Amino acid sequence: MERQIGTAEKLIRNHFVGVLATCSKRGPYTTLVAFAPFKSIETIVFATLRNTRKYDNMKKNVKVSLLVDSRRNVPEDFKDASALTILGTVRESTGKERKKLAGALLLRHPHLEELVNDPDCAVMALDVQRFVLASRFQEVVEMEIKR
Amino acid sequence: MKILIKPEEPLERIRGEAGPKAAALANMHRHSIKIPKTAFIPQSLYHRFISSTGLVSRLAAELGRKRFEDMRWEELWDGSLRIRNMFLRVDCPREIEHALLEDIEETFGSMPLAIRSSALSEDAEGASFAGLHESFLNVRGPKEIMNRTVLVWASLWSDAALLYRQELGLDISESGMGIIVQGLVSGSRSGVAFGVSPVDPSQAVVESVWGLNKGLVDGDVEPDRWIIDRNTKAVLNHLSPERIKAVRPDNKSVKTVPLTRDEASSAPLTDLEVGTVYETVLKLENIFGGPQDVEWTFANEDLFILQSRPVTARSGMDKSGKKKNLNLRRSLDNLLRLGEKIDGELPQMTDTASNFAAADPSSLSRQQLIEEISRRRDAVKKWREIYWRDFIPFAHGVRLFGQVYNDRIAPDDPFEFVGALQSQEMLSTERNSEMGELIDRIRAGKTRPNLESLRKDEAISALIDRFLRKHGAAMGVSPGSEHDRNNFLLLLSEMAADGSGGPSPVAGKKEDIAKRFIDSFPRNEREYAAVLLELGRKSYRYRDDDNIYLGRIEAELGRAVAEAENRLNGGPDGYERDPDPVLNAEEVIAGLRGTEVQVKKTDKFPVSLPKLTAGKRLVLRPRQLRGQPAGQGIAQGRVRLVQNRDDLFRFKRGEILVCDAVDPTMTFIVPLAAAVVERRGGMLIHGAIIAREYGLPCVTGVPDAARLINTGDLVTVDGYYGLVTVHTNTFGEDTTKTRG
Repeated sequence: MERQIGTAEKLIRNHFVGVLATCSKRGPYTTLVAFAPFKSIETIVFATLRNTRKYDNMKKNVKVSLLVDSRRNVPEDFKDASALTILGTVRESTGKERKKLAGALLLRHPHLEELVNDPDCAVMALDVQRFVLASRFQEVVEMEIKR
Repeated sequence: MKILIKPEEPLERIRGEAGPKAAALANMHRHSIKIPKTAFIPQSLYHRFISSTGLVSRLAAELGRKRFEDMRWEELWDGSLRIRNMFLRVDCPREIEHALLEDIEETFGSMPLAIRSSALSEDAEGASFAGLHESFLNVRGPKEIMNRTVLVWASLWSDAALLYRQELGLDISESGMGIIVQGLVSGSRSGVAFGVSPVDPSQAVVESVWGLNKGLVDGDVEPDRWIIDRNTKAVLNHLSPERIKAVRPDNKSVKTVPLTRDEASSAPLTDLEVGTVYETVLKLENIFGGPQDVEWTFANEDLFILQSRPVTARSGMDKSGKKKNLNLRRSLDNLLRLGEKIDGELPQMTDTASNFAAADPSSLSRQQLIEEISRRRDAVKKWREIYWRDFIPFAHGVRLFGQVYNDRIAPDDPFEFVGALQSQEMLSTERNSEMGELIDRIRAGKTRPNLESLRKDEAISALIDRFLRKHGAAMGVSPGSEHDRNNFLLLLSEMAADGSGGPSPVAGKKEDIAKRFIDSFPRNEREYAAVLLELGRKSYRYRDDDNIYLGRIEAELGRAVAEAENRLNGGPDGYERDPDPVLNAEEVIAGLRGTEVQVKKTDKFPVSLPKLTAGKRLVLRPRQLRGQPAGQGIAQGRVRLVQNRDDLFRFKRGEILVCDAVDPTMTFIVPLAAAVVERRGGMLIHGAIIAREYGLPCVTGVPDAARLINTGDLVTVDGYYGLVTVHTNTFGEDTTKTRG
């Protein structure tokens, strides 16, 4: 169990990009997003322009998931790759919080400065409710953040 | 298309494509050392084979089943067996097969062949392992050549190779297997030689046997041994064993045969020939720049060198000067001898248990009780030692049978062979069958059975007591303990009340599978097949029975310890027993002598979690747990986590048995279970054996099974795939129909 927690933390801390899944009436929609953890692993930050399909979806449905995985596109992926699904709700940050979250995101992705400073850019906070970690193809453990 | 690489080709190409062992042969050939007619199958052909057949991703899936660190070696063997079966069941692409066979025929004609493994990492500096991979002698005909080639490729993933995977740097993409193909030299005398002895660096060693040196290398034929002074080249000592047998070519394989009287009475080599072998060893030392570990054979008067590699700290011989072999399997001869030894040991074991059972610890004085506990503790220690020394290795009988079965049949289910071994004669099935009869008797009564009705019924009580006298000790029911007896009565009433049948094993296809096996051999080899089948059956039966016998002796120690606990504490309640009766014995002996009894407490769930904001915590739940598929079938039910005897007796029909390890003393509960899940892994462990006997889904080797799954959890056990899905409604969802 300690091992799985370690793997989940490593995936969040060592990976730069994940697959964000949002949902609209027309169905699910996935996009790659650059992310950064904030406050341990409770909040995940990412940025998006408001004029995008994913932002539109998130406005209508705040429930999202973010997949972060370690696959290398080699046969060994079946035995070595892990995939972490992060489930929670998103909200757009404002004011001081936006500044803090943007700082965390830029610390990890300095090249996103231009995007974050764009007036049309929303800095999103994904408040994590649950992690689902799949490793070794079918080994699945769930971790829920409880108050 | 030419596939084979010839010894005349550049050494670097040979080393890169067929490994250091092949390069050494080519180097000897260049220096006019006589080697058999030789060519090499490059590792690139192995990679083409695994890529074009899809084996590359199947290997990854198989090897990814669990973390190696979490596997017992039995599980490595199971995995290796599945891989071997995968290799045997794929069709070799026609262009590979055609080109290879054509090239071999052109090079070797119709001569019988030796097909030897030559892994790329083998014999590299500091990584020299003998016996990791397969080699075959006396291979004849295209079908056999292809079959043996594929088996050598599969042996890159042998159980021993998986065990030493880190030292070997074993990797699906990078590791490759070259093959050395040689015309078989039917040597009349063969052996090994070590340019420098690991015992004394001023000495060299030559060992020799009659016939082929397979018997020597496998450890089945004891060699003559000559110790040579490296400076003077003089023979310092000649050690002769009792010469009994030799390995010689036979039909399409090799066979161990008795020596003639003349051979048995004389050494395989004359002093002159010992000198010839040692002179050649020195030449090789010169060529390779260091002392060599050499395999050789004399055909007529010609000395052929079969293999030469550096003597390294980790190769060749162990500290006692004996040839070290890392092959984890044992030969048929070796196992047959071990089986006979155990035949003699088992009656002694039952006698010990019976003698202990006949003595009543409650009638002993304090001093006598100390002596009795010591006597029983020593007996447990002795029989545990024998268990590890003889009984555990004898389980290789099942493995040997399984491997040969799969090599002959290549079945869909790589563990189909177990069906040919299952037996009604096992002690545990005999006990379960008697328990079934007891339940039928209880059910025949007029009233619904319960604890009270069973207690009052004198006839039934007498039957129950008779049953407990025979089997109680090995089920953890202490004689005289009202608590244990009540537990057992509750279990019986549970079994009798629900109206379904008592525990009865599924009717097996034992004879069909056995016949299929025997019939797969040509007529002249069926005697060998029958011997192998009998060995497998005996090994399978003893694997269960020996545990029960050992369990009986341990239970008798437990009985004496319980008596001591009664005297010390006024009863075992409130005293946390160590699961090991030997440790309990030490504690109570100390107690009886006036020293305080130390009670151990263990913290089972030390989990460190990442720091979260104050007021928040991380709750972990398993969703899908992977293990080894050990009994086919799918079942869903509520978990009964069995951690002690009381849990066992609370078991209800249809529950999923989850435990650390099913031992034979608790298998009587298995027939009630809908499925079995355990932490200990392997296809041939008791949980798996008994689950297969009763046709139950079984997943073994789930590392955190007893820690993560709780009594009452709703789970699905997939015994085909080796998966346990936990549906407990932790997060407010109905997860019974979802996966992933």
